[in-house]
Amino acid sequence: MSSLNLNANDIVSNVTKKLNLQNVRGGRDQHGDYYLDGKYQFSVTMPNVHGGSGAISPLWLKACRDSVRLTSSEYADLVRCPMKGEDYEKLIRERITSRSR
Amino acid sequence: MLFDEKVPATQGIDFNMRLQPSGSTGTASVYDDRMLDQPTGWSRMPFGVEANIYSMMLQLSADLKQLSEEVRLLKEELLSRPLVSSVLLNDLSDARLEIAKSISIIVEETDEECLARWPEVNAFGIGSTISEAICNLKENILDLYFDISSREKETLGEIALETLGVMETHIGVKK
Repeated sequence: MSSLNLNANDIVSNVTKKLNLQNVRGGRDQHGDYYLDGKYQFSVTMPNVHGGSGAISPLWLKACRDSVRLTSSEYADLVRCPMKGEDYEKLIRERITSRSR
Repeated sequence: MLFDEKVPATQGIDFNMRLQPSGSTGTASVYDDRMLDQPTGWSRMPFGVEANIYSMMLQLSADLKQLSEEVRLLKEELLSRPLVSSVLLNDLSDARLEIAKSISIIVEETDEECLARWPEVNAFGIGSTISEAICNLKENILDLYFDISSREKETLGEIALETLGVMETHIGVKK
């Protein structure tokens, strides 16, 4: 994860926008609620942007990545743009289906 | 003669001579000029050592050098990875909730920080020490529990329902 070299600004802006997070709230870290088909699924963790775009520690990045249920490369795609909101939704639907089997 | 014994130049061997059958054993030694180009602790072939043995010594020396480099790289890689351990959580340090069934959490530790997480519900806590990370994880678990359980069940999606189910297995309300 450390090699991903993602910064806090990119994570917050892209994840919030693409996942259409609701009720985004700050604190020690930022959280937003993810909804699918109008139903609450989980809370997404994002780093706190304290006036900078500093790199995030590997453990923080891991926690943020786990909160959206993605692998390292998928998370990098989500933050760096190749993955669109619809692509993410498709992935999550697949994961829900495979869990319920 | 010991391998690491340096032989004075005056005692050096005439390598051309080594191509001749070696006296008592009558076996021919093959000498390759490339041997002298290889980095080694030996400045020249030690006196009395067969050329083929010398060749093996050079090869071993090169292999050892390569192994040593690989060990150094592996050591660096291992030191940069977090130290992972498993801990059982038996208390949430909260007046309202208690642990009904121990929670198995994962603790990852690097030089700079620690991450404690409950993978089944994706709850985590980060701190500069393990105890700080676990303390933050407990707060995060409480927030998550109260957040999900306060919502109408009809408004919860599959993942939220599964998370709530796991949490209710492990967490109970204090009487």
